[in-house]
Amino acid sequence: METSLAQQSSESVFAKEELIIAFIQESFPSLDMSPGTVIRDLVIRLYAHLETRLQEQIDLALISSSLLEISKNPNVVDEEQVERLLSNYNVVKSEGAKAFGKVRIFLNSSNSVFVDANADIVINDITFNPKEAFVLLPAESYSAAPNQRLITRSGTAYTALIDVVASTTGSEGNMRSGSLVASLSPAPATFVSAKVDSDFSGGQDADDNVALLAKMRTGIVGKVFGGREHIKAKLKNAFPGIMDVGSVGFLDPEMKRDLVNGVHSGGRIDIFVKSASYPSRIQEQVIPKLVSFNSVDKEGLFEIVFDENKSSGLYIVESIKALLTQLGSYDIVSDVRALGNFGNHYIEDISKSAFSAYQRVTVKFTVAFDEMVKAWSLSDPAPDISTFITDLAYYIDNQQNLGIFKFYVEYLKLPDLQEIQAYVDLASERSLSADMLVHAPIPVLSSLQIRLLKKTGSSNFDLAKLKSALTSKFNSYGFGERIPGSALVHTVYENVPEGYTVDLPIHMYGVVINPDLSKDVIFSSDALQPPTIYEKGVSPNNVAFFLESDMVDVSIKEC
Amino acid sequence: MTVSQNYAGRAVDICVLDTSNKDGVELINVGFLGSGSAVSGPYKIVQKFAKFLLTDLGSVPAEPNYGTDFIRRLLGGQIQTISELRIRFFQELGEIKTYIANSVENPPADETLVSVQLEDFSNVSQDDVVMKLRFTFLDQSTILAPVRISTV
Repeated sequence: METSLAQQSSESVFAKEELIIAFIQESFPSLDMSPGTVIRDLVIRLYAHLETRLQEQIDLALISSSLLEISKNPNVVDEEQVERLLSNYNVVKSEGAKAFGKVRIFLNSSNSVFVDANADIVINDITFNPKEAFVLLPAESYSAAPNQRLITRSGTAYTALIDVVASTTGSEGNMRSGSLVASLSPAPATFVSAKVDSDFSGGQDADDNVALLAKMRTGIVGKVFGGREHIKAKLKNAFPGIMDVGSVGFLDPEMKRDLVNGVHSGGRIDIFVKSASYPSRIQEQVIPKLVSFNSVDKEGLFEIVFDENKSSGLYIVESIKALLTQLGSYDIVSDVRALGNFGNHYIEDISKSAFSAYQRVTVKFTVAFDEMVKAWSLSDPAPDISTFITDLAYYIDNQQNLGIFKFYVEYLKLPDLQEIQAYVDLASERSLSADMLVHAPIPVLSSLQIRLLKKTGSSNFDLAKLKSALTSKFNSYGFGERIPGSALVHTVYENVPEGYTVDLPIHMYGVVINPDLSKDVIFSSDALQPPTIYEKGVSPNNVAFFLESDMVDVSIKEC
Repeated sequence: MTVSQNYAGRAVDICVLDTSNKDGVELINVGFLGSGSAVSGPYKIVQKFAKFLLTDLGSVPAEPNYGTDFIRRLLGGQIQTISELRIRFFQELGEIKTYIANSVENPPADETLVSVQLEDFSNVSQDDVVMKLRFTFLDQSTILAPVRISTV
């Protein structure tokens, strides 16, 4: 950042000239340095230009070395100096990271096709590339080589999954499940369409100066498993992707694990880690267990037991279906949480370990026989219902090893809970005075309604970009913070052209999923407050708001 | 323009526009003489005048109002006749005199410019024109300074 000589302010240069002349004149009074003289114009002025440049650089260095000045003008400081300064507070600038995930490709046949490693895959204007060159093959040719992907059949479609990586760093690459691929170039001959299979993750923005300043607070705090700020600092230092950390401990009304005869005894800390700005929506094919079949209702009862990796930080199972192209979900009749192997932690019952790395999730769902047929995966055709009922015992006994029924399940979970719990438990890192249990925050899955009044003739704008800005703002609030509607309105005005007005009030809704899986609804037009329900273990210390762009409803009325 | 041989007690500038001490028409050559060359008195003011006149207006970033359009017009073919040249010269003259007058408070009499006359204008070769300017100072001294301008 340097002003060119021609752009230097004439007032600044003139002021420098006067200072230099005054300085020289003291020792050389006989030099004529009045305006228009050669000494002034060719010697003094050039030096004044250089002095002006030096002064500018000195001023910039001073401003860039002051936290106060940086916070006032974060965008007009010397980036390198800011990095040097904040390194004194153990804060290092993140260069950002590329988002990655899986894209499901739909084909019109099961013929083998090749996906070039340099293919451009455009999703919501962001370009991705395959992680490597992939060969998509039918089962008979598939040998499980690393770059092979199996083509499976789903209804009338043929599909395969490939791994992709964003071409540039940034959080905008964290695509949501179901986002459509706008183009794939070069496309395989049998290519029909493609979409994001599960939420992409890993995309991180490079830190700007505002982000660095925000990091500083945790940078200067002692990184120990002690008070709330210290725990947050320690975890954010170890896991840079963590958005925020809330803690519940001794004397907090919502702390239930340290109660002895109703009295807080201390020694237990529940840590709530917002490890991503929004929970990941994961879709995968599973082989559920057929528990029973109701011959009267012609309906099967299935059960999916999520292993510890999948259960960790899992909030809800959103849908179960037989085909990828199917809309809606089969009826989920139960969602039971149990305790897995929780090691040496003190957990009385599952209600104390909700959304932790130790919960185990089992869901049951019912499917009518006509729909079960769609999930039939054997090469032999599905039997009719009478044959099925006759052979029910065989199917129940052999269903798992034969993989008779395959369903797609979609669930919402916060990532990395197991890794964070493992870190907290490390002998070299752990607190010697408290049993610390890591949870995903108690989620408030939110929605937002905004109506804009458009003046006739006003230009159009990018609605997806506005929704993205709103979700980014909404999800940026930390534990204990309320979400003011005014901040969202301000975000709207920053992202729409002139001629648009926000028609107040805006509407913010949230569904709180309590640790006992009961749900409460909150609503506000002014500010969404984190709920406090101590008896359910819910408080501003452990509640996180989440908003996804699909849940932002922006309507426009022309007037 | 002569180089002062004795500038004790005078405010001096570096001499960059040189003529000899000979009588008659002399050309002002732009460029440094030897190191340590200094100029004072009326010649210093003639140098200041010539420098302002020959500098293109707007070419000095720190002083955008310094200079004139005179040379630009001359080289751009906008001055075709002697009468046009006189008109343009006198249009610029007032501003140059004001600049010089304002540049120093209470200058000595031999550095106080009273008037400048364009005495003559002629082509000395195909590529050069020469203006002869007569400077009159408060102490009644006069200097006839020829200014050669290359037109290529």
